[in-house]
Amino acid sequence: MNVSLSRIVGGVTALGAAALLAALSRAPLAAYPDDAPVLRLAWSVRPERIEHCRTLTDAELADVPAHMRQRVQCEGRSANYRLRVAVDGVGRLDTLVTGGGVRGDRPVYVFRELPLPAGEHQLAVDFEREALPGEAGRDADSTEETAAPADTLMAARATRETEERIRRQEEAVPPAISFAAAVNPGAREVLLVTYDVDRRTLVLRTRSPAP
Amino acid sequence: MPAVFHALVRGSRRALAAADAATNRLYGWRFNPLYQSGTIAVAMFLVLLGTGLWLLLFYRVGEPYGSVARLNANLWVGNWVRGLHRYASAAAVVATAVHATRMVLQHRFWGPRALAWVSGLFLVGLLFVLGWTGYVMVWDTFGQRLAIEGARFLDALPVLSEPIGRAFTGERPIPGAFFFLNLFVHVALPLGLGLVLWVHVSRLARPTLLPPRRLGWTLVGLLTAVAILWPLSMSPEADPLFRPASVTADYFYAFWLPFSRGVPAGYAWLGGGLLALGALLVPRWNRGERRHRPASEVDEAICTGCWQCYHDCPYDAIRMLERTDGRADVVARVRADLCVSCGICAGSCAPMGVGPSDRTGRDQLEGVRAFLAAPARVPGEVIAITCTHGALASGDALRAAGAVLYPVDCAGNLHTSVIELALRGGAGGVLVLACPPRDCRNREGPKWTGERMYHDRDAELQSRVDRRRVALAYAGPGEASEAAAAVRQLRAVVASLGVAEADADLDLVAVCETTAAAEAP
Repeated sequence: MNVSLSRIVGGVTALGAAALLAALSRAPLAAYPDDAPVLRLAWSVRPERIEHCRTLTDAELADVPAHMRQRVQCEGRSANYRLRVAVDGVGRLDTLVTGGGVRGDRPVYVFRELPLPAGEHQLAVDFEREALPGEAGRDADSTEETAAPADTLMAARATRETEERIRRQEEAVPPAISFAAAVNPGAREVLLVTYDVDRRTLVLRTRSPAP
Repeated sequence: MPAVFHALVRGSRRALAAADAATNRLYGWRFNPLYQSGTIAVAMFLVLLGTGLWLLLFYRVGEPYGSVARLNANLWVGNWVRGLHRYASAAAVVATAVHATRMVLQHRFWGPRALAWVSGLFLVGLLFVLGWTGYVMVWDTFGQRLAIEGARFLDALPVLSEPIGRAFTGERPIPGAFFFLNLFVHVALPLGLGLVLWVHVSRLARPTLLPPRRLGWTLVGLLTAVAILWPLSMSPEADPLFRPASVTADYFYAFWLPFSRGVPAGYAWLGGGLLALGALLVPRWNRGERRHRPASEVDEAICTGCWQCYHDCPYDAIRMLERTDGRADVVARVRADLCVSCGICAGSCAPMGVGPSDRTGRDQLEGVRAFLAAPARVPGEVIAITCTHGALASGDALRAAGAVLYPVDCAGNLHTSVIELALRGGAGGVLVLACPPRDCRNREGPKWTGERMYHDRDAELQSRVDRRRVALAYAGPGEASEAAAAVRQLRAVVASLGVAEADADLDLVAVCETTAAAEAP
């Protein structure tokens, strides 16, 4: 190959390689091949504590180091939840959701995606606290008041503990929340059912304003 | 399985040789981008730094897509810089892939090179994380796709109390902290990359970090031209509540995306982990290489302390120490853990006192004496001294051109006395066929050989040798026609000179020792 020909071929090759490089760095890639709309269930909530609380007696408190004294002592676990989804009255999902972490005491995180057939549908989502054996009939954070606070310090502490329990209870997701609505999603649209912290219930969010 | 593997390696080597040869014909070995793959990757890294700093001035973590879209709309100072940034990142991946492929096929990862291999793998990992964070920064549909897939993998690790994926479900706006953290990683990682790059080349005596200026600027110019002529457009903004059929993706960084869909994150970690572990252990699997390629040794009785092997060693594996035998001055000592057995020190040692066993200058003279004594030798023939890794692959073409072959492990290993002895032994001419200098497995073999033959670098080819009968040419394993042409050229010269008088009786070892002793400091 003579020099000028090799220069021409080399130049064209270099340009072609650069163009190929550019093309491959901006090429279409299939992201979601399926046209179907999707129902996305996504929320994170603090689970209720299923606890048995007992007020310690003065004698019991006296055995505890002063800085660790708590009038009301609670033992228990975080609640589990049953998640059910029905589309047009047909059950599509029925699963148990537990709190995160090894001990299951971290927030409950729900993330599920269910493809929906195109068209109008009646959607129902239920999220209910699961009653466990032996816990039926008992409210979460139940307390047995067995003794009155002995002194002013302990009385103040007891008040704070009660307030803390109430706050925790209020922050937790209600025992049963649900969502039901008629939906008509467009192709590839995501219907997001999530938890509204202010309204303490499940709500629907869509690309366009919810129906 | 090994047979299939070896066939695959052989086939790949042939393909690489053919690609090298074709590229040499187009651009010449000096500017062959395949030879310069490592330095091109570094050059692209510098381009990325420069363009990245400029783009950073306009990026807003509170408005990622909007700020990039505004920048992209500015054709004068925004769009083409962004295009160059993207194409340079793609070129960095290509250059890295070519570089890694060369190292594997040329078997340049065992023993002392293991550090470069392992740090190279880390560089690859950092490069991909940089690309990932860079695309997520834009927060278009492609960035969102990468973020969701990345979060899916990260969430499979039991380290975070709340899944990262939650940020991308649409429950709430993406927190600004996410984009800040992403930007921080994207800006901070290049510092780490620079550090690992330093480790990567730390065992080289004279690392070449940048390509020849002409090649480097041509590449930057080409990428800039493409960025200007084919402006980048913006993909739609990420929308968590819509699933696009396709996204405009960078295949260099997202080639894995089509395969990862549907693969459980745990399996992806397992597969990726095994792949990474396998790659990291490659040097360990080749530990046996040392048996075939022993480290150089110094004969301290012969060493004159001239420092030449110290200067020539491409891997800084030779130290000069005080002598302990009562003689003055210093003596060379080889650090076996740094020696890759290239044998370049053997070619540098005038009195022939250093080199890997069987490949010292003295061993080479023994070898060429035996070669010349073979009954098949004909006075006046042209001997082609070929590098085993290079021109020896063109053996048939060289023989057809009228040369007899004398293979050496590396042209840099060749002691110039071999050339002299071959001519004194009756050869009409000696052609040294070295690999192209940028493709030497031992980095600097052809360079030092050229200097020893023509520029009086120790151990130089003696002035008494008729230079008309000697030639040096470069040919890779796929350049049979070029190698054969060099043979024919030398044969034509030799034919015009007539048959030289044989004089193999000269004791070259004694001459070399005497000369070296006289020149010693």
